[in-house]
Amino acid sequence: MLLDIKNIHAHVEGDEDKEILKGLSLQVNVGEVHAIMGPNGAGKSTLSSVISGNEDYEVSAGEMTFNGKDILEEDPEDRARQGMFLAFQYPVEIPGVSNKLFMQTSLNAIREEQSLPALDMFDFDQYAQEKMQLLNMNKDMLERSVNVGFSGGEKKRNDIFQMALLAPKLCILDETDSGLDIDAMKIVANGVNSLRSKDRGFILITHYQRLLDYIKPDFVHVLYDGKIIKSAGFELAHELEKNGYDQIIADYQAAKN
Amino acid sequence: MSKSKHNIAVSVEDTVIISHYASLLANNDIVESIATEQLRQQAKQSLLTKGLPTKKDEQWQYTALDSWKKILFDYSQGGGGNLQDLASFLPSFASFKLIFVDGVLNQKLSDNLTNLPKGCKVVIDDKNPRLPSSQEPFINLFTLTCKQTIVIEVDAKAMLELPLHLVQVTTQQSIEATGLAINVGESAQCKIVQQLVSLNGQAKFHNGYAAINIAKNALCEQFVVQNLNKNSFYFNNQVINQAEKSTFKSHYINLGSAVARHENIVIFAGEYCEAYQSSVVLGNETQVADSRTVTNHNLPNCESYQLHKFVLDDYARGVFNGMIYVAPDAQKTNGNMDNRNLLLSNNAKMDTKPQLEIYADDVLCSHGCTSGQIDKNQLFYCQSRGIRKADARALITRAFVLEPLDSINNLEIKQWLAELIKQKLDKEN
Repeated sequence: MLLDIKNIHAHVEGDEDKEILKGLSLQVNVGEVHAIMGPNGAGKSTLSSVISGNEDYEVSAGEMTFNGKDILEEDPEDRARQGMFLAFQYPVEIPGVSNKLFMQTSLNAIREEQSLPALDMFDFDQYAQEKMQLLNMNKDMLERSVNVGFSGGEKKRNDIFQMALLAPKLCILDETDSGLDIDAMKIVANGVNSLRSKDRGFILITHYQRLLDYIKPDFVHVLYDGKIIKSAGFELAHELEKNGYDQIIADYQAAKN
Repeated sequence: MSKSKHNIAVSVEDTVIISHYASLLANNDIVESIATEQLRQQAKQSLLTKGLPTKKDEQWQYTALDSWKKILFDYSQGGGGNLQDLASFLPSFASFKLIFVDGVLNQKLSDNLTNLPKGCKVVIDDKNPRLPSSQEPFINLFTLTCKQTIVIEVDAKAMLELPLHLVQVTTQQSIEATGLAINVGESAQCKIVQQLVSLNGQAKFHNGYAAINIAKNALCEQFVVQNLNKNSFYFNNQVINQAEKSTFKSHYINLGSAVARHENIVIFAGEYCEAYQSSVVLGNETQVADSRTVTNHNLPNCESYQLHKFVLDDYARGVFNGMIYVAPDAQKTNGNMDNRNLLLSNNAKMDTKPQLEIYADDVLCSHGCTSGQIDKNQLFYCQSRGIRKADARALITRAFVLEPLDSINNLEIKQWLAELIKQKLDKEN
């Protein structure tokens, strides 16, 4: 199993009284695409933060293994080096650091983990050019500072470009579709689809069904009250689009009481 | 606007210090001109009347002088130390080098003054040092102790491609009060690199004063690289007079010294002048680093741009004080001043005071300052891409602090400065 989350409880660092994830379980195998949907405040972004190791959140109970290895105590960089990738809801700007330097440093960090030799500027350039075509990106993007002065769509595309470069085993997309127009969303979806493979798993966290129409996940989960309250196939996304979360939440509340 | 001190007696400690520095040149064999003698007397009187700055002086509030006051510096007796290591401090780019060891020109190591680039004259004048008259205590100390002035004359229309490179090397505990007088002729261009290095742990009291005059249409670009050891004290006052359509570019790189204070006073004496002033200041342990500018827009249609960046670690203290003054007639002034500071530890401290004083109505002026720690989101973003936290910090810090070098067009000098800054950051993190 690629990612195995069992009964995870988590809260914001230093705020133990406010539990956000309340016993969440999720299993992702290679070759699978999972969509996590849910209303605002359900804990969607906390889930991506906890999986990727953001120190702002603390896990108080539960288990999480990645490739069969317990990773709860591991730093974000170690998770990334083992093949985990998070596409951010708000990709971060780093003034003065060029995309080229940033991604060369990142790629070589991950290659180091795989005992591969570092790529020099020339080899990196060549490799990056191939991936940039995939996402219709301007060549000057590599010379620009990381995400500085990028539009919302460019930032998201840059994250997917990074994903293509690093070729991770597990891709987590945190609300990557939010704020994208239909053309930008298609480009992002194409990028994701081109990376789909039997050796790779995906978790798509989203508020809307739109992106899922382009990516067609294998599983759809509803996250509410810090747990997965319903899981089904792609048809669940359509049901949610049509009827909203109310019925599912009502059923969950009834079962709980 | 410093607060005046009424009827406060100068402390015994200050009197001892001032008398010490007044006595340094007393046994000088050189017969000085009456004018020089008068200036020295005036400086001494001013110091003895007002005393040395204390924390109560607004302009010295954050620049503690206690450690400087503990050592009474003498002039080096010459002889010099081991100079073998000097080569490793010098950049590889071509330049015309003048190397001073403990205040004395070392002719063996320097380029020959008879081979100066065409259109340029350099005189080391120890008969008539150029002494300013001022109310500033460290300028007065300079006037009291200055032995020589390096006079650089650039002829009209001369375009000096080769940078003039002054290296001031310290091997012995000593004071150095060498003046710099730079006169750049009409439509001339020159680059001047001033580099201060320590070859060992001996403390230096560097007290410099530079008068830079830039004639019509001329350009002067200056680089000051202060890399003295952490037992040293660096003070430098520069007054820059610009005639119409002239350009002054100054880059101050502060890497060393226990206490360092660098000040530019830019005066636009003609229209359509431009001035670019930048600082890169690194401080750690208990270093104190102070960079200040006064930019006087006295006439219309002049532009000034400034970017000053500090990176402070441990218990280091940074001070920035910048003033843009716009006179009532100075319409169409464009004045821009930015101070950005990165604090790498909870104990580092930055005091910053950007000021605008505007008396004209048709001007474009701005100032900004920010002080903060490395952004947590930036760190996490790097980490989530497999970059180790320490490497991510270094990556972000370098990017932050190298930005002021962007305004340098000479790639060799720019790379050399970037390398010095990176080395300093790597060594100390």
